Amino acid sequence: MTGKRVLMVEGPDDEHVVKNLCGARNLGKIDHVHPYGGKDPLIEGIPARLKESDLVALGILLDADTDLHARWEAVAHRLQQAGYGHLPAAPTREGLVIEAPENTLLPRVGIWLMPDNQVPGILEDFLRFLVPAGDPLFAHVEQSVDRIPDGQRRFGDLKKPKAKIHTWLAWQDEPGKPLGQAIRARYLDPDLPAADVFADWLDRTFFAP
Amino acid sequence: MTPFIKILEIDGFRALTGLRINGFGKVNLITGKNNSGKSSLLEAIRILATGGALRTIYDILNYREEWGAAGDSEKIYSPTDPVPFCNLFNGFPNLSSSSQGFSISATGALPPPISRINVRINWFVRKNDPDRQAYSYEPASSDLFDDAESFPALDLDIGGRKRVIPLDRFQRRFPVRTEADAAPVPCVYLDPFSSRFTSQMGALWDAIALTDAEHEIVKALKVISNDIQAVSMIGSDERNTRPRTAIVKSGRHPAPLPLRTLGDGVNRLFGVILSLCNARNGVLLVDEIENGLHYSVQTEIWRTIFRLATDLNVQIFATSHSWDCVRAFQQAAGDSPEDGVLVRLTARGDRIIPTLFTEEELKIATRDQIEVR
Repeated sequence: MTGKRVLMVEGPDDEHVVKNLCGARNLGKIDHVHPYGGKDPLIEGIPARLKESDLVALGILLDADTDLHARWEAVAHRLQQAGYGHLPAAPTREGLVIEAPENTLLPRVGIWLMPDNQVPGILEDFLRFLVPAGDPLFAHVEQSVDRIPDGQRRFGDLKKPKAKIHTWLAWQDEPGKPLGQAIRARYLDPDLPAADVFADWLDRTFFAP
Repeated sequence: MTPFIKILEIDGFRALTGLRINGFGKVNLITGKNNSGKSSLLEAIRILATGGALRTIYDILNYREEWGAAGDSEKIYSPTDPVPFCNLFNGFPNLSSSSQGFSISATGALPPPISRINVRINWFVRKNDPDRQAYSYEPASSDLFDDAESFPALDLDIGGRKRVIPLDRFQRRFPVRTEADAAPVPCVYLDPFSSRFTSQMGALWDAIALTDAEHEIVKALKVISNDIQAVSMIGSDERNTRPRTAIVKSGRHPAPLPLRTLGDGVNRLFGVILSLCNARNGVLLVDEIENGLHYSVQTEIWRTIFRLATDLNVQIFATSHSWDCVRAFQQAAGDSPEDGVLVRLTARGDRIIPTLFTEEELKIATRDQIEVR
């Protein structure tokens, strides 16, 4: 496929995670990963992005947050309006990829809702899957975060996984690496089976013929 | 307020076939790569808005040099040779089959008599009616060899009115100006190279001299050159006299200067704004609008164009493939209450496919750095 491949993401963390994952698993290079600075501008930006010239593949990567279904609806609605016909009522486990409708300039579109298209959550819930199984340090992190006394925890429940991952990264031999670099440094293991489904979605969205 | 053309449908005209563009605004910028049909789209609108005026068709073919220049042995046509006209039709049809032609139609505020046109080339014979001392054209029989008297003609249906125009009428020198003048909606076309000569602007200038439009033109020219105080045209179209020339009064010179000496940008802008003022309550078409205009002034120029489009009730169609021009258009569209629409044409296989960006989408496209050309 000649043409441009673009991935829409919420923020720079998503951007760097995907880029490093693509690199670690030799998937290929996405021409442009665009951080939108939040889910609202991303969702609002879908119709215009679909009209980008020479676009052949578009990935849409969003956190499911607390309401997976509402997030899915918001994306599916805009794709239907743009001419993608009927979309399933709920996301598929392996990440939905829709082929470009014939006789249009529309791109192939892939949609992924973090962490796994099935449950509420955010990017860091997905990254939790990339922590090597049975890592004793992570068990320690979990205990520590869970035991923060009432009134002293400053983040909401939804951000708990984020606090845990960053705490865990703060306690590596090179403390405080950002998420993308943590993949490159192999603290987070991009070859774990948990990453297979996501990597396969990236491959089908951007690199399949 | 409904624009003259809200929806445009074109079939079989040059490379444009099965094309439907729904959602034109007051000010429209048409982009696309080379050979994506931008100029053809302007030509189609021009043919439609002038009610299929022969003058328009003649000018279009003449501009594309499809009559051939003297000394061009490849392009000497006999008076009834339909070849130059074939280029107007999709697929260079075999003329013995009369089924092919082109059609252009619009939905919007264009008056019904000029909101659709169908054109074919057919073979006709002339039938005399001695009683009324008149004649009419009638379709020749299907077997061309049966009818030695038959000749090719443009077979037009303009908003339901039928016209037959033998092709040899186009081969003569073409003084039939009245047809374009009688158009119910003014339609002004500016070619990509208007900045080279100011003489062709004479008629446009005469139409607005000593009106408020003169003031608008000076105001617009100040965007590029703040020293300009007044503009006028002198000379005449008579032979052996000074040709029509635009002149300006500049703060820096005691005597008027030819506009020509102030550079391409000022001259292009003069052409654009003068044409706009002449298109009042009508349609303005500008091919490659950015020619000669430095990027730094383009946003301000588009702002002026948006403002005048409202004040003078002109629907504007301009083409460009310049990124600077698109960006300036996006900025000005965002600042103006008037609708700015960007239309990109893309050649895909043997089709031309349009993509529309509404003003809202243009804003987002600018914010998100989306390539719209």
